[in-house]
Amino acid sequence: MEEYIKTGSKAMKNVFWIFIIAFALLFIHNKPKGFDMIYFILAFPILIYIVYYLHVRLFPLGEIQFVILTSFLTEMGLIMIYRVAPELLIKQIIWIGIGFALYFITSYFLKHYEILYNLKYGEYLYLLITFLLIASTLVFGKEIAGAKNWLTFDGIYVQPAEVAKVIYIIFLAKYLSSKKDVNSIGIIGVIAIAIAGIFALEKDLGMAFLFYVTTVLMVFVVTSNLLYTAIGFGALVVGGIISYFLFWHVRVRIEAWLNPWMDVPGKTYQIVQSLFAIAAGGFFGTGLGMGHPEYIPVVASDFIFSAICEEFGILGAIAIILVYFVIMYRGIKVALNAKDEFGSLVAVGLISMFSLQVFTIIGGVIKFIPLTGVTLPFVSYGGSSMVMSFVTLGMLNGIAVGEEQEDVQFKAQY
Amino acid sequence: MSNLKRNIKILFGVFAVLFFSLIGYLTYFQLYERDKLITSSYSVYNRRLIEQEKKILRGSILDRNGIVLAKSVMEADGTQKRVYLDGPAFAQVIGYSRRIYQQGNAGIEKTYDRELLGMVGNDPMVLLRKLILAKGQIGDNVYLTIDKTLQDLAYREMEGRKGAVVAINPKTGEILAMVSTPSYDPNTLGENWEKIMRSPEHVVLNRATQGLYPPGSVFKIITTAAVLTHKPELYSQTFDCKGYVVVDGNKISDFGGIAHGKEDFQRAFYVSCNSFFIQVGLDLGSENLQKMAYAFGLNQRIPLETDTARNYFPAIEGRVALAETSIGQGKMLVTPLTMALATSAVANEGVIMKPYLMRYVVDPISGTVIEKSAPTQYLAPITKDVADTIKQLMMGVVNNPEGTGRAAQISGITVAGKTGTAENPHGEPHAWFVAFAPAEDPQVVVSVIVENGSEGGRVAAPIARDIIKAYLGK
Repeated sequence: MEEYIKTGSKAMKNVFWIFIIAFALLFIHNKPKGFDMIYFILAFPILIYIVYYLHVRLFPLGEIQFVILTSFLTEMGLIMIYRVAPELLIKQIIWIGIGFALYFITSYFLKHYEILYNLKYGEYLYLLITFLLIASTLVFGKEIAGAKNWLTFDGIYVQPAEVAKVIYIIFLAKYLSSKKDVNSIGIIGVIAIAIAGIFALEKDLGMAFLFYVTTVLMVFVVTSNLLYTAIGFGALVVGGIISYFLFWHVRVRIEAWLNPWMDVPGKTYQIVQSLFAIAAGGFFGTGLGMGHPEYIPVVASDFIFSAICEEFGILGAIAIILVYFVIMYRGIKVALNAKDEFGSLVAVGLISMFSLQVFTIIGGVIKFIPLTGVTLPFVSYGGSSMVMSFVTLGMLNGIAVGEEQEDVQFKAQY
Repeated sequence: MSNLKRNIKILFGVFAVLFFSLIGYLTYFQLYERDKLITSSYSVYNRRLIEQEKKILRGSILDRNGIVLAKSVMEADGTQKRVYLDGPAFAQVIGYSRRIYQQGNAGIEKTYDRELLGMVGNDPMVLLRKLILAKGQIGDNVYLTIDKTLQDLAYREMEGRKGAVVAINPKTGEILAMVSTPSYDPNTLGENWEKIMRSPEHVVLNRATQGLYPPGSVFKIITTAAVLTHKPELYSQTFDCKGYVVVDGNKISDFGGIAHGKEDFQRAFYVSCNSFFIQVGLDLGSENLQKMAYAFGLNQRIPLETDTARNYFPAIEGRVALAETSIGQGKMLVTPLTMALATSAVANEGVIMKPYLMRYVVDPISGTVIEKSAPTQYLAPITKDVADTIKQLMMGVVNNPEGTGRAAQISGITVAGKTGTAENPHGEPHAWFVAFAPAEDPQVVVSVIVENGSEGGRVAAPIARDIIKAYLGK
């Protein structure tokens, strides 16, 4: 335990120094505009230290890695955002602060996650909320960058789908932990297709993919039934083919993936600029401040990974992927150690959705798979995504802490 | 519950595979796709290259002896200015760069753009070394095969005329001179873009490679090659020229209606008798003639580093078309470069070398040669024996008292040549002359066309003579 805390604080020191050095370098080339920005930038290392010590105090048996790794990811995000869109930096730091706060709150709440299970007619409520959130943008939504997946309140843009992700996972866990018969699975299939359909109408293909595939994976985990899994993925392929012919925006994405050179000034501009950035970075990167990631459109949100590739090289990028890998590993651990099936399923659902999202956006910007616009958790600019990513890990931490409290014996989970 | 745990572990495996496949793909991308991407033609959309280029002093273009033809100078405000030191003479060959005139790209500036920016080398080590060694970065220098002295001479000779001159080393395919007139001053391209691009005289067109003309009597070289290759018995026939022939009711006259009287093949070639060659062509047949024209590349686009027009040689249909084609009239259209190459087959024992303009690309910092052109064979339309026979005929054109190309004679050097006077719908006939010298060991092939210049022997031959003399005089 002592050993573990020592390693943890050592890691935090590295996170701290990376931040200080990176911003010192950035300030030489690109002077901060106004004292506000400097205050906020200085607040970040203080924030993560407070979070770290609070976490050690409040959840001695919690998932401290989540704090260390998210500190690293968010700081990488801040560094790149300062490079490509400094005007967004203060907002992003505020979102990170709110995110950490929500992390603690959900951690506390989820220690008693049975409440979520025991709620009467809970599954219907969760499902209803999910549909309301997802459909809300169809009715009231605002179209940004081609996708109608935003709600605006007084100038604050919210992506309800980010919130729906968590609620939907709770629904799935509750539903699947009690009902595993063919009919119930069929109903789940219909629900998943309906959700994917709504997202497709909103042109939010990334979310459609995430919700659908997470559902299939959870069904597999619960039923161990390979036939369901095969049908699930088969339907995904069929749906993909149908929407290829049905929806223009699906066709564009797939064609841009197959042949990014067909229309470089137009339809494939984003992906090609992303590839140029990655190529410019090579293995070792151009060095911080030496590249031109600002040439990529929407670089601060969807394409931030390409910006990291350019300036930190793919060695830096691989480090980021490995950080996500460790988060995924810890999430799986939480799922394995949960005290009941419901907790286990919530954890596995959350970490699946999270990992799939990471894979979808990184795979998309490097042209490994067709590009769909989702954010890179903790790194991309964006409030909804940032806050809900923290909520996701907060829930996992809560489940982990809850399970530990049940245990009289200390589990050597480290 | 145990199944659940097993399945969660499987899920972990799935995500592990997904994450590591991302790492694998990124590595693959950097190892195999990266260079392709950076060097591809799509890199015009890569603004990084444009940014980088602004910092790199664009390389110079030099003639084969190292005389600077185009260079860039850094202005006080950090922008670059391209200076063309021998502007009009080289305007079409050197062309212009999109990086200087956003509107377009042409010539050597276009083809060797990446070299001039010092970005060649899929070899990252070369780039790295450049980054380290060069304080202000400098692009690579491109050395042309062209000889500036010869080019200037050709340009002076052509000034005030419309047309083109090409001089080639028949043994290597190196282009020694390539002039197109009327020309323009590339130094004023910035201010006069519209005027130059829309000039009614098409000054930006490189007439040597993109101008299409009927070859006229110069084509008799190819008719002769077809006779010697496919029907050698026709070579020994004699003919009585009345100054015209009638083919299927169409009267085709000799130039000026001159009746050459009794003649054999040699004399018919020296005096360029149309009646004789029409008769020979009719006996030879369209298939044989067409086959030989194709062998000389008359239906092809000549490969070169800068743009070339595709030669046009339609299928010969009917006796009238065959008669016209035998003497280089009719529908076919060729570039002056094509006829220079056809001549080089005669000069080079039947082999046409692939023409090229870039001699080598040198990194000015280290002096390392980055790229170098090597002579390669392009076509081999005729045998050495056929080539030798035609060479004798072409020597007669210049040296026989009756030859049409006597104006190309040079004392002490045996010149071989062929005149052409190409009828065309745009007024006076085009004056052609192709030649090579010394006949014993050909060092240079010259092809000259003067648009609407009338007689090739009178107008074009002296230009070729002066160029040969200047080249061999050294």
